[in-house]
Amino acid sequence: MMQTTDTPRVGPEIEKSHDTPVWVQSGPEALLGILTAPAGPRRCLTAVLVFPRVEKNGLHVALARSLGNAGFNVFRYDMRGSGESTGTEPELNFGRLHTDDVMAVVAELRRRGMDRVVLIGKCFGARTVLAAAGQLAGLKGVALISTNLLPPGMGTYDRNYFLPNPGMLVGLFDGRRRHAVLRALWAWARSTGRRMRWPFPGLHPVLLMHVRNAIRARVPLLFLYGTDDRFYVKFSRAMRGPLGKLLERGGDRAQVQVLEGGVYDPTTLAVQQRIVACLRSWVEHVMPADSED
Amino acid sequence: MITDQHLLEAGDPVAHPARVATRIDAVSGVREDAMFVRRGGHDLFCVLYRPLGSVRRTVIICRSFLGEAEMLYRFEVGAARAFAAMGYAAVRVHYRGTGHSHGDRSTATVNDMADDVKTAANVAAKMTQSESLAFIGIRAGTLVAATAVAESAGIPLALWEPVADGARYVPAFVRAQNALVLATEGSQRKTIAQVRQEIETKGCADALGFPIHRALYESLAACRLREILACAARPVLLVQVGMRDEWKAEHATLGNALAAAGSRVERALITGENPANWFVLPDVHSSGVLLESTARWLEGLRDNP
Repeated sequence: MMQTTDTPRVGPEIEKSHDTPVWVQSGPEALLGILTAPAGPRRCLTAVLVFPRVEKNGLHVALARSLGNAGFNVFRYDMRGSGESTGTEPELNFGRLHTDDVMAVVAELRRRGMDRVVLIGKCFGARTVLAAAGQLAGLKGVALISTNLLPPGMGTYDRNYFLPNPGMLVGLFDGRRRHAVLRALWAWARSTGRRMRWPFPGLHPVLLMHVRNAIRARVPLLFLYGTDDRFYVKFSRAMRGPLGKLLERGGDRAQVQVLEGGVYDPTTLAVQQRIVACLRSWVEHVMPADSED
Repeated sequence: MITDQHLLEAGDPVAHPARVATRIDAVSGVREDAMFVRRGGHDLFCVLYRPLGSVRRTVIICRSFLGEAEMLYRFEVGAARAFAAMGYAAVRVHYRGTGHSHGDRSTATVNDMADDVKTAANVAAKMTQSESLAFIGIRAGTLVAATAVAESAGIPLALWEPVADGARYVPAFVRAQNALVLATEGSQRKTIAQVRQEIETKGCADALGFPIHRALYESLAACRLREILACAARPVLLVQVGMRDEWKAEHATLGNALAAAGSRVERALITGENPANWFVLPDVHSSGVLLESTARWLEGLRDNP
């Protein structure tokens, strides 16, 4: 489904890439990222890795080094509330996508002269990069690894599973709490409204909108799943509906890759290697023809 | 405030921070230096946390191995930040070939990891200009911490839920991974006998997505805390985390052996949490009590140097 560009192979003259730590300020939080720069000839494309937690067996590090050895700049950062970054663990939830963090990271990279960017996200990180893709001009690609298509409150800015508590209504009579209670009630009404407008299982409309925006903007997309992934069943079902039609409309730019085994939780080293190889091959394909230094 | 600082030469021919990124937390007054320390042919990833004022002591936190290190990652970061907010400097390091650190993990032994820890300690001591150290090990990290301080009498050592016998660590890890796979997928993937055989025949086993190399496996199997720590006396904090309100036999024996060898052993028993969960789950429920008891012990070190 994807147009193959004649990508010059990078030879073995590339030595080991090297890593530099970088703090990125995003609102009140500081995100620690590692910028991997190739030691040999560079290609003018930077991959941003958005993984929600420290990956099994450092898969994100292996991916960064593999792309670095292929001549790409790579920036992997710890999402807020995880790894070395600041923030609290509860912020890692589907009810609040921190697209602002992705924007801050891309802005920092562009400030350093890295204008051509592809985003690679996994699970919660995949939803985040897809939502951010619509707000970033000039993206060269978005790869979504094991995206969950149907988490509650996904794509909205509401807390998960929020239910109004009768006790909280007392707060309406308290001047200090009234504003917070009204805000919470509004969030509940809004999320309930969204669920009611969406009676069919399969694909959240907000996610569909994000995919549509990416395809309209002609951004190359990759959906990567494993046959053992619990989200893959939902994805297959969604592909028989509007998502499939939408990706078809994307033509060569929209790609689906399914690997044998688990991609969400890669329980063998062989699967981990296949994931890295698949993503590296995709990045090489989406790289614009004029990206060689 | 965030600044980037590149220290190209620190005057140390053995180890020096090659690339550093610094942030200062205006609220807690803690400075964090994330850095790659160049030692030999590879870069080690370290993070140093310190107060803006004077440093009371430098604490070196030694992480565990394999999936447990990943699960306890956030806990370690939180612990280091908490120590820095109390006035201590704290440093964490990723052992060679693991995490963000470069290097060959296929040949890395517990002794090599202890060397990495000593490198981080040296760099931290130079940067903080504080020569009083204390080491903290978490689970299998206690074996690394103990190896690092084994020949230096008097250096305080905190053992958080220690693995007293390294030979039992890999089997316990494989069992926990299997239990997780069994619970989620309904089938067991690999027995410990299969893992052992793979290590023997191929030099490396794939333990459900984690490589276990012969060098680590064999060096771990040869590690026993009471033997490592028998030759030099020191202040020791022995913390047990468990479900029951009684000491496990291995920890009771370890504490008694260390006391008999002349170490000043303080004990802390934390109940209500099963540390076997740390192999597969990222939450440490008893982190507050754990840090509190360690902070009290560190405070006591100042009174009884």
